[in-house]
Parts: sequence; structure tokens; C-alpha cells
Amino acid sequence: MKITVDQTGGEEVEVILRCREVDEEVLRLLALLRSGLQRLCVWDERRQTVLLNPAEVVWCETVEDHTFVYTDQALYQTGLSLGELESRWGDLGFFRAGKSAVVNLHQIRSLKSCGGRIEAALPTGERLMVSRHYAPLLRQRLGQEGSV
Amino acid sequence: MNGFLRWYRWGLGMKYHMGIYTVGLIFCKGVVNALMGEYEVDSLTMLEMLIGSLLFASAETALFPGGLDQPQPRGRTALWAALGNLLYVGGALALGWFRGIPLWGGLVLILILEAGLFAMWFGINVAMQADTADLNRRLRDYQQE
Repeated sequence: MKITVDQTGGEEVEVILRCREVDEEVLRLLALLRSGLQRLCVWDERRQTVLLNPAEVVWCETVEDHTFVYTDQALYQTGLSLGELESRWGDLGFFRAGKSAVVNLHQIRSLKSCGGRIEAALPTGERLMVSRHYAPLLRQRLGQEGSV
Repeated sequence: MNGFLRWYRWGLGMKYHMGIYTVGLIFCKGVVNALMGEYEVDSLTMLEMLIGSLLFASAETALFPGGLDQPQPRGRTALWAALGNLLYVGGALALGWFRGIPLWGGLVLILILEAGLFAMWFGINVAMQADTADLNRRLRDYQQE
């Protein structure tokens, strides 16, 4: 795949994908572009709405049907479920780490093998445990042979 | 309340290892008894084994407060192994856990204890740490993609 950045001085950024056919790679690129452009609508404790760049999200959790979104600076709430967050921004690195947690793989500081589980150190200082059910999926996502 | 929660969390981690050690000990006792034609294990002996394991698991959490799966200083690992030998071999000798067993049988049990301690050390310090290093290398690759 050839990538060309053409600086023309125009006001709006334009992305043109030239391809022979719309294959899986092109579809993946499109999904990535769309998900990267989509903002996550959240609100803070004063119920002020914020449009968050999904890349800023460190992790999300559900507590009693409420979905909380953690960045390294703040805590927000969103109306989306964990499943929706994962499916919308999975290409950007959102990964289901447990029944009640989704983590942004790009924000993880380090991982630690704990037998069947994996502990993720986050920039918020928290340590998130990837459960036995989801740990093989994480290994697979990171390309570890013979996972799942 | 915080103190209680800290104590409770400590208990959760400790009792898991205490359980493994106790089951291992009782299993060995059961096999030895069966080989000697006795098909039961004394409740008092089981209680003593549980207390021995409680002491060992408690000492373990004191030696490795960050958990066994953290990189460990060699001195503490050596102390941990020595304590394991002292508690289990000492307990067996002092309380007669394996009374009537021939010398070679005792040596086999000590060998099993050493193999168990080594397997635990290997699993935690070698296999898990290698896996952790591999996971982190792959995570960096993923993040740079």
C-alpha cells in the first residue's frame, strides 16, 4: 500500500482512497478512518457534554448499567454500552477485557502474565485484570501464536 | 474499615496458596498411608498440615508483598525455600506426619517437596516472566502499527 501526503494548503483535510477493488484491506482502512473521525459523546459529573476523541480513552467500565469512561485526566459517563464501544472503536484498539470492562490497547503501559489472566497497567495508575475468558483473545489480538 | 479491607485482601491471596500447599500435603499423606495399608488420614494431622501451610503461606506474603509473580530478589527466594523446608520437613519430623515411613520413603518425600518448590519458582520466575516479556514486546509492536 502506497501512502502519499499532499500538502495543498486547502482548509479541509481530504482523503481519497485509490484502489483496484474495494477489498478487505480497503474496507478496514475505511472503518479505521470512520472510527477515528467519530467522536465519543460523554458527559462529566456536572452533566456537561463533551465530544471525546476515542484515542484519549484509557478504559471504560460498567457499574450498575452505567458506562463510565476514563481518560488519564478525567472520568466521564456515556450512554453507549461496552459492546457498542468495542464494536465502534475496535479497530482503534478498544478491547473487551472482562464482562464489565473495555480497555484501549494503545493506552496500556505494560502487561503482566498472571497464569491464565493478564494484568494491564494503565496510565491512570490502575491495574486492570483481563479475565481468563478474554486473556486468550488478547493474546490472539497481539499476535501471540497458539493463543485461543 | 481500610485496615479490615487490607487484611481481607491479604487473606484472599494467602488462602489460595495455603489451600494448594495443604492439598499437596494431605495428598502425599494419603498416598503414604495407602501404601502402608491404612486407608484414612487423621483429622488432627490434617489440621496440623493446614496450620503448617497457613504459616508458610503467611510468611510467603510477608517475604513477597507484591506477589509471587513479581521479580524476586534471590535472597528472599532462598529464604522462602529454606522456610518451606524448615516448616514441612520440620513439621513432619516433629509431629510425626509420616511416622513409620522407611528412610528412602522420607527421602522421596523430601525430593517431591524440593521438586514442588522448584516447579513453583520456575513457573513464576521463568515461565511467567518470559510470557510477560513476550506480551509487552507484542504490545509495543501493536501500539506502533
